[in-house]
Amino acid sequence: MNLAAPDDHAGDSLSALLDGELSPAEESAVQAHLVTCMACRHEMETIGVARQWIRALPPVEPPFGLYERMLVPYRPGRRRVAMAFLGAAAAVAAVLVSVAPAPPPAVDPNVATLIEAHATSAAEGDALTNLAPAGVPVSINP
Amino acid sequence: MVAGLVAGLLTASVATTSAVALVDDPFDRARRAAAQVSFTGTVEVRWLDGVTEHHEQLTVQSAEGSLLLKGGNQVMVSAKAERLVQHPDGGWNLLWPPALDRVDGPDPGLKYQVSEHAGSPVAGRPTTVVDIRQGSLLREQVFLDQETDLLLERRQFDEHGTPTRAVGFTSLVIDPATAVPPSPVGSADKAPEAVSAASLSSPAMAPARLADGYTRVGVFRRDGVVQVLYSDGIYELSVFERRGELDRHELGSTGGPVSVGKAAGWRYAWPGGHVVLWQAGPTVFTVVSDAPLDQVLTAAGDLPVPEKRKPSVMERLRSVARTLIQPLE
Repeated sequence: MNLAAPDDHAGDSLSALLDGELSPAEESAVQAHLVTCMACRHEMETIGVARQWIRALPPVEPPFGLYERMLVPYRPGRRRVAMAFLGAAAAVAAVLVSVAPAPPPAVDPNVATLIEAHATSAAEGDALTNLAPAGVPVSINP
Repeated sequence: MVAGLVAGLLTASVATTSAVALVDDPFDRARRAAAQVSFTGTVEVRWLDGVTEHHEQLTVQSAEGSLLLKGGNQVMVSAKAERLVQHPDGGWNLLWPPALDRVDGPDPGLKYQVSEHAGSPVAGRPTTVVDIRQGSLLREQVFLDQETDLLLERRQFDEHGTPTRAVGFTSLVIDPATAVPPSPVGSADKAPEAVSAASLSSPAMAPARLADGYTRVGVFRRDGVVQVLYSDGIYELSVFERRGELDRHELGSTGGPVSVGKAAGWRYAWPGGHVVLWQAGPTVFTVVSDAPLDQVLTAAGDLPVPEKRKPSVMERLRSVARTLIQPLE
């Protein structure tokens, strides 16, 4: 992972950081990246929450006879039934995905347009000092 | 506003020996002067983005109440008080029509104290400086031309007293024979319409007041985007909202993280102030303001957090289904 490049994100290293699996050098690099990268901080928070949920789940005892059934010799007939079941489940899932409402749209505000809207609507102060900043093209790249 | 500033000045004059009586709001004086004085000159815009200082120069021409600024963009206020912007690659856009409903901002004397004293020359002209303070904090200095009352320079300071941006003349020629800038022909109408806060789909998202003395002065809609404009009498703050999830991967490498109430946000500096973006429930807020950043964050943090709607059964099924088929994709 090269965190020096601004477009890189920490990715799997976030989970490794939480698990204490990084070397000191890698950990320093990830921590430094988190200071400047809002996306990775958000992902880190999400991973942390998910881990807490999982750890909060009660332990589950396997159902009676699970191990015995796993040890039953392989029989092609059962495999075909299982594959058919999985196929049907996947088909139902695909239909649900296609007909259900779409997730919330990703929003990427056009900051330059919003700045012009604000600058031209501002009335406090005088016109020259309010509007001069709008004469400078905005180079923000959100 | 005038009465407030006079009251503010009287208060300030007790504490500041150099204070003199203001007859009215320095910005009102500057506006009147700008409408009566014809001039050409060069204006410099300076601003801080973190520790990096930027500056740009623009030329300015003004006569008979018509003002033209030429920089990377051209900006104009016509004699009819229209506000237009032209980008280098396009025609003129009318962004503010002559008469649009907005109420006056609150009395700045409620929040700020004002005092006047003689200042250093700007563009070779003697000035009177108006200090605008919030408590002991110097927020703004306004340099007025002693002869004409034209606003020659405006400086803003952050909560630590560090200058963060300034707009001021580097050269100025006052000449009654200055030509009136020609009005653009065939500009595209991109002006907003005024709407009432009660007519919004979520009126609670446009409260009449925000923290730090910001009062709603107008609600506008342009291309489906709602702008709620607030003022504290000196600075203004626009709130834009859109339903959806903020695309955090598109936030870019400039700017920096900030806290907006309990939410994590991102801020950028622009030549006229600050932009702050954050996710609140199912809504993405963008605030653009010319106010100091600490005020922007205080006011923005006071906006209500929209409630996230509980997902329907179908949406929950869809989520489960997506989880199921993701490994097969």
